Amino acid sequence: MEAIPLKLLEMGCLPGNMVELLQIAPFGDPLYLNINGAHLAIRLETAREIEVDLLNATL
Amino acid sequence: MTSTKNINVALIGNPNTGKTSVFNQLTGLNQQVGNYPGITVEKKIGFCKLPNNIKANILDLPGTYSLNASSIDENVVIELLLNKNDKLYPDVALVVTDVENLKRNLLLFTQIKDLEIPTILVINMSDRMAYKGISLNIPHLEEQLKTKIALISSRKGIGIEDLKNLIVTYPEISTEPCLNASGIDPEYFEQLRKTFPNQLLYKLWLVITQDVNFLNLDRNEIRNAFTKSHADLKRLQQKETIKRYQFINDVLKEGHTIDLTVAKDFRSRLDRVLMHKVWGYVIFFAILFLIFQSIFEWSAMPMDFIDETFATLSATAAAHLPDGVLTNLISQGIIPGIGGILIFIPQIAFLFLFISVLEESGYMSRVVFLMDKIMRRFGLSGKSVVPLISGTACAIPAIMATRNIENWKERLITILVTPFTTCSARLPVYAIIIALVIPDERVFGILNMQGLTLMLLYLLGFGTAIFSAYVLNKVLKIKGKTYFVVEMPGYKMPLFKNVAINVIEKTKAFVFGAGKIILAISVILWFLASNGPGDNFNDAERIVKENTATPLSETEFENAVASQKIENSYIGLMGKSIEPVISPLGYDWKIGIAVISSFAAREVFVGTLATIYSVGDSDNEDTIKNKMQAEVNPKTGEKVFNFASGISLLLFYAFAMQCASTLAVTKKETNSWKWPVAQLVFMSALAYVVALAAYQLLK
Repeated sequence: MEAIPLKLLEMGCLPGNMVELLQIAPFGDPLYLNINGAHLAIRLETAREIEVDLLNATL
Repeated sequence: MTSTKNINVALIGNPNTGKTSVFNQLTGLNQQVGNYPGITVEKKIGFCKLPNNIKANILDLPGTYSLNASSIDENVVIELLLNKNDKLYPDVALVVTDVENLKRNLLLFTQIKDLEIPTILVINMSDRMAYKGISLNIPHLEEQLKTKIALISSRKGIGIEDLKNLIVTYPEISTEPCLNASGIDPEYFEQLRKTFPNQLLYKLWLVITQDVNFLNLDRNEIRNAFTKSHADLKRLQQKETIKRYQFINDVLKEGHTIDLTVAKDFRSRLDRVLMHKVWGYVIFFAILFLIFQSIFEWSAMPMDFIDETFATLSATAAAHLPDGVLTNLISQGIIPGIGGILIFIPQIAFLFLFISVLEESGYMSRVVFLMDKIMRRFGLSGKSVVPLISGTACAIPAIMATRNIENWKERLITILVTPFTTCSARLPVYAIIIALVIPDERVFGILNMQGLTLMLLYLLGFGTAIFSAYVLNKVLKIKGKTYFVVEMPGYKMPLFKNVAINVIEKTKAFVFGAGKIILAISVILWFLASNGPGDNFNDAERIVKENTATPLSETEFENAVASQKIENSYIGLMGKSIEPVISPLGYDWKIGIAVISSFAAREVFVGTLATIYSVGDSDNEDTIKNKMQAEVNPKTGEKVFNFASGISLLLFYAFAMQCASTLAVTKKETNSWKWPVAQLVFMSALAYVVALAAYQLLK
């Protein structure tokens, strides 16, 4: 939690939310995510700090 | 005339909620844009007539995601809301939200409610509800959120009258908070409450956690009484945010439903094209190309028109007003000075037109996403793209546009390198020198050499900006918060009214902001050029008579007197005194005068040369160009404006920091004299060295 900026929480990226990876930018960074309806782009270094569980690998 | 005072209505909301559209709907063109004292944040106030003869001042506050400020724009919001004595302190707050992003937008709403200000929840973009399958339970939401709701569509103009009727009822609107945020650490907040029983608890919390100026409370006093480490405070802020979201989720479970089978996704299809690894860049560069093409093609005609109009005006003023100092001031100082400002309007307006269309449509965020990784190699951010593009109009708004870059180092580098981009003030300088030294011929049958040179100068500007950023990134040792969050808004058709108002406001700000300086310099310049010390200036006529053997015609005589005068005027003496420094660059004292006078604003260069070379009544560009073309260096017998000195001048103007306003903005934005001074020294030194090398190699 320490490394997650407050702004990210405020923009709707909260513990327990579902994250969908929509797109990866052409050179591998940043990531474009749909976090429970919030469409956000964040850099890999921030994304690394967010722990996720894989929900459905076949999708 | 009514004696009742206007009520204050503050518009608050996240970015991309259509807050500005609501503002425009409420106020029409009846708005004023100014600055908050001491800072460069835009202050937009409009006026609106409400039912029951009530009049309102509508204040459009900068967009913010929360009351935890991370930029000076956001600070403005907090400082106003914390200060009951501010004369704009709102009687009622309208929190504008987007129906599609209601959950996220409500976070700010719950914080505003904690400040116990009467608050109306404005749910915007209601026209999208059917399309997205969204339904709202308004009575439930009103009850849970302890507020009144106005469901509107600012794009379609739906619900605006109802909103106005609702604002009038503001004394009856609840000021009760909708959740109890102090539950995150009851002990701590209880202690706070006991120590400051007269203060609002949430206000105290904001004062403790942020860097805001709050007049009645000394932050250190509170902080010393309640020491918590920085990490502890941050953890509490995170807890607070999560608690607020829990509340919002609970409320929306009942009040807001989305039928996912209805929602069609246009966004993802467009995203896949616009952010494609090949097409994304192709489209972006095609758009850039289109912007530059149209700025030059479409602006040329109105610019020529303005130019000619002012030349005629000067001549008319000189012919019809009685002879004297005042007439000279008007015809040679003030009128050309105003013309020199107004000539930029077409280009600036076109550029802001494109930029506001790209921002309104949601495309700009996609560019940020595409460019971030590339820009980061040079120590910049994807968000630096917008300032660098805006810099081609003017570095001043461009530097202000860096505020949303979270990382201080990336932001600082962007501020420092933005003045290298070719701003519109360099254009008139480039235009006249290119016309003088680059032949109007075609290469490979299609490319015009003059056009090509201009394009190369633009590329040079961008290239130098990027390269300097790379160097600065290696040199500057700054550690900062390194995070980057961009919201990708849904695509929207830009609204004509919003774009038009934005273009008008930005252009006005430029004309009055930069205009004052340009005008002042023109007048000073005129004074220095039409006065001089000693007999050489004051007795110019006699000296010319004595020194000429053959009799001169009347025009020849006047020309000779005029050049004797300018050479011995204050400005002429200044030009002569710097000649040793600038002659290695290939410039004579007349160019020296132009360089000195354009020190505070580049565009003055052409005006100065016009003043110096305008003898008699020939105040149009063509004859000035011919005069410059014919100018010969008396020592070498060479043309003053030859290929080598021309290229040297172009390069000098490409690199030199000749803009007092940009330095002032850099000072304000970085809050230190160190950076503008560094900018000035570095850019000027680079300009001198490059221009010197170019002249010595080419001559």
